[in-house]
Amino acid sequence: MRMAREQRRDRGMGKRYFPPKRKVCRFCENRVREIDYKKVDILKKYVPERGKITPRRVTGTCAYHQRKLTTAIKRARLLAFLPYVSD
Amino acid sequence: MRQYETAFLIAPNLPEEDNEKLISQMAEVVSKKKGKMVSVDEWGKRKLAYPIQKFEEAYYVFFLYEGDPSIPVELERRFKQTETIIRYMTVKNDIKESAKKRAKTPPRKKRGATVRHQEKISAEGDKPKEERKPEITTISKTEPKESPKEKLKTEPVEEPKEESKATLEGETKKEPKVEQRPDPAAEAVDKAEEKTLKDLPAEAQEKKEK
Repeated sequence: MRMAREQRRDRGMGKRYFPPKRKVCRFCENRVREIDYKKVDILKKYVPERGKITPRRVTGTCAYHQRKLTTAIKRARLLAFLPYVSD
Repeated sequence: MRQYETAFLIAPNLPEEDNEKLISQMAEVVSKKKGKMVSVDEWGKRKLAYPIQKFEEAYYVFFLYEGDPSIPVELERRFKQTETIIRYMTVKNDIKESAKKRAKTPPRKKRGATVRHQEKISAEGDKPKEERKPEITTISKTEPKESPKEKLKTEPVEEPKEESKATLEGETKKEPKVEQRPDPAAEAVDKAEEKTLKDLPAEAQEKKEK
């Protein structure tokens, strides 16, 4: 432990190294299996202003749920719940 | 038997009486084909995210039904014919498959998930909160009773072994200390060498500052 802490201090040289906070898939946390395309409020969180789907690396969603999410968002787009494009 | 979900949007300029007629007509199709209507959801008029056929809003209807694959085909054929339906979409729900998967893989217990997160995200609302909180309190009550006992049992057994090893080998007892705590060791060396060499401690001090 002590060694590790010192190494970290050396690497930083003044700037402390803060390990990034580990993101957890929100759907896994709530044990949601399927994502419904009708729940627009949830989907909107993953579609920022421009109307693009936020990538996994940003949201921390797991691969399984990202796949479900994309299909849900695309379905929602077809029914005009969400925009295809917007500026 | 499969479960399908069909959603369709009715143009907003259609009067509400005709809306109901149209919906009942479509519902008949399901019943005629020996399908089982599970639910009919009417969301009413809702603003569209983008204009469809120059309409800014539309009347949303959702059919959830079970039956042969010919039902959605027939429904969609009718949707195409009626001009007042702006858009439609059918989705096949694989209920059985998902149920099987659940049975195979039991839900994992979350490690990093805090109670706060669950409360924030859970869409269902208050029920999970009430259920989870008592669980945590019970755990916290039981743990402190058990843990001290465990510590008492484990620690005395482990520590003597380490000490005995160290004493038997003699030299190893000193070495781990040097590895674990470089600073005090370095200081000790510095003190010893202060008399002979004055350059080395200065370097060591610089390293420490860094």
